[in-house]
Amino acid sequence: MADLVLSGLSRRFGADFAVSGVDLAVTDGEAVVLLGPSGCGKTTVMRMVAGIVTPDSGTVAIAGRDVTDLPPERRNVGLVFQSYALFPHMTVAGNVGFGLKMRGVRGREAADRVARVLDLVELSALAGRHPRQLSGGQQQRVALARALVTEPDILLLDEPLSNLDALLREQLREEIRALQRRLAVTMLYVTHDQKEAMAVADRVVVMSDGRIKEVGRPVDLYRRPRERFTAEFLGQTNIVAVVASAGRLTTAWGERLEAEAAVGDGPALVSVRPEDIVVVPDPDGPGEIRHVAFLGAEVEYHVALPGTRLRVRRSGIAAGLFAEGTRVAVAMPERVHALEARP
Amino acid sequence: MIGAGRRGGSRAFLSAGLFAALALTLLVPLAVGFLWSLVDPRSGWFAPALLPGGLATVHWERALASPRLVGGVLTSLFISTVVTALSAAIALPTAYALAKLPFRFKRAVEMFVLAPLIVPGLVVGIGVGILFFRLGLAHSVPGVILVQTVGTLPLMIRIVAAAIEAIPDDLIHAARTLGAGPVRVGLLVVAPLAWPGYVAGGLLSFVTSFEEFEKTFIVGSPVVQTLTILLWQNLGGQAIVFPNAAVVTFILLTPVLLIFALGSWLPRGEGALAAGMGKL
Repeated sequence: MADLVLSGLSRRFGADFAVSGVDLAVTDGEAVVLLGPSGCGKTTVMRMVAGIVTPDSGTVAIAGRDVTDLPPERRNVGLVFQSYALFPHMTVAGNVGFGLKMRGVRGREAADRVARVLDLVELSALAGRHPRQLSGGQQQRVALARALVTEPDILLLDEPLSNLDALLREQLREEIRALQRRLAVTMLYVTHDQKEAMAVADRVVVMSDGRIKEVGRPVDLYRRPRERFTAEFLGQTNIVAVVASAGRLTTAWGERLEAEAAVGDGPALVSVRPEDIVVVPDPDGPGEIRHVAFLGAEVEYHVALPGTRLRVRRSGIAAGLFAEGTRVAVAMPERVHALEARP
Repeated sequence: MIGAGRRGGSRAFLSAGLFAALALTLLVPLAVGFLWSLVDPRSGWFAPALLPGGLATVHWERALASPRLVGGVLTSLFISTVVTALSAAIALPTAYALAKLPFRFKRAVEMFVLAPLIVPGLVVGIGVGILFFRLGLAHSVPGVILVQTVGTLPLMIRIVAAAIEAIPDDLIHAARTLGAGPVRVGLLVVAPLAWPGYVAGGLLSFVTSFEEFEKTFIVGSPVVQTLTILLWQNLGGQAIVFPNAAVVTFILLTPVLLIFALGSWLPRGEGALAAGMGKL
């Protein structure tokens, strides 16, 4: 187990920067998720850590050792792929034992370690099967066991759940998280799914266009994002234009709000989550419900207000269900979060 | 049920048609050829007779009695085996590069590799023959082996490259991160997974080499006498003698049939053969 430090990592493919100036420090035993839309460079960063892609500039250090120029086989990392990447010509036990064989661990000890890690992912009964005889979820658990059996310094996972169906995805997500905690292995996890990122991570790294946008604990990034990109990529949000004056924020429809932290005077942007807004029917209210989507656990409204449109989400039977065209009063949270960016 | 029945019917119809076509193009000519090889020279076989006037084994006896035949078979087996092994060894790095490594002018290299398939053997044979004569390789077994390898290499590279191309990069990367260096990745991951390509490419190379005439004749004759060269001399000289030609056909066909039977009989051979030839 070890820490991971990336400094100034850059990589071009052709004329475009796939990754540009990435600095990141992952502490020993920490779970860090690289989150971003496809093409943002998160997989390239992971591949540079694994040694599959060589950086144009910058360094990768694992456990204090600069591994930038080492080939993958000398870095002691475990890699789990979206495609599972199990060896089709080997059994489950053969796949899991591959890394041990490469390290010269043989016989009794190798068999014991394979058995132990298969037990960990609850696949002991399938040790003699071939990958094609397993379901997607089972294959990915084998891949996880294969990556863990060699006790890697860093466990790397590249969209490990993206090929699985929704239910299995949640279940395996929890298993991966529990396993990572239990083994206290340093983990770098790549995904484009913000829920998955928040569920798995100690810290989330939001990436866009090959750069790191923002790094933080899931709750901080969700509730107090600095960047508009973060606010919009992590869940849904309303970006509302306000005017700040002596610490008070005024919306276009005249509601006065309090800022969580000091905001300089002038126009500003606040991010308000749909679930933090309450709407109440009121014939004299400023808003009108333009669109209603009943989603089962929650109801989503699009509310038109002077100069803007808000997305509002209510849940539970007590919140009621209002028809399109209803005039409503809108209650924003008492304290709102202003973004760093200005309009 | 009705739909299933109709589909079953059309499937039976289709397979009957395919088997009929196979019989017409393969089995009927073979049967006719076999009859020709047994025609009694005293009665002959003339139109409009559907069957020969009399049967005799005299053509077979004459061909098989030739003392040089056994020597020719052994020379051919030796040359074909070496050619196949040589093609396999040379093809691996080339095929890997074509399949997995990005480099400049890849298309041009591909064309260059495949060129011997397109250029007639006679042209290659004459060109190489002159060169080999100067190098002292003419009329020698190594010379024949080299010139035949020119012909088999494109087949081998093409088929093995397709097999390697089908191996996902993720598998290779997984093996690397698990501690395998390039050589062990080649031996433990790429080779076993490219095995179907090797089986198919190997069989095709062997058969191509075994049946090769023009290049072998130009470079090797009259010192190196492979089975093919001996049999060609047996065809009749000025004009083809049908019964002799028929015997030659069957003698040349034997190793091909044996090789393909062997290919399907090998462990995983049948699937490998089909997969390596490109799934139909």
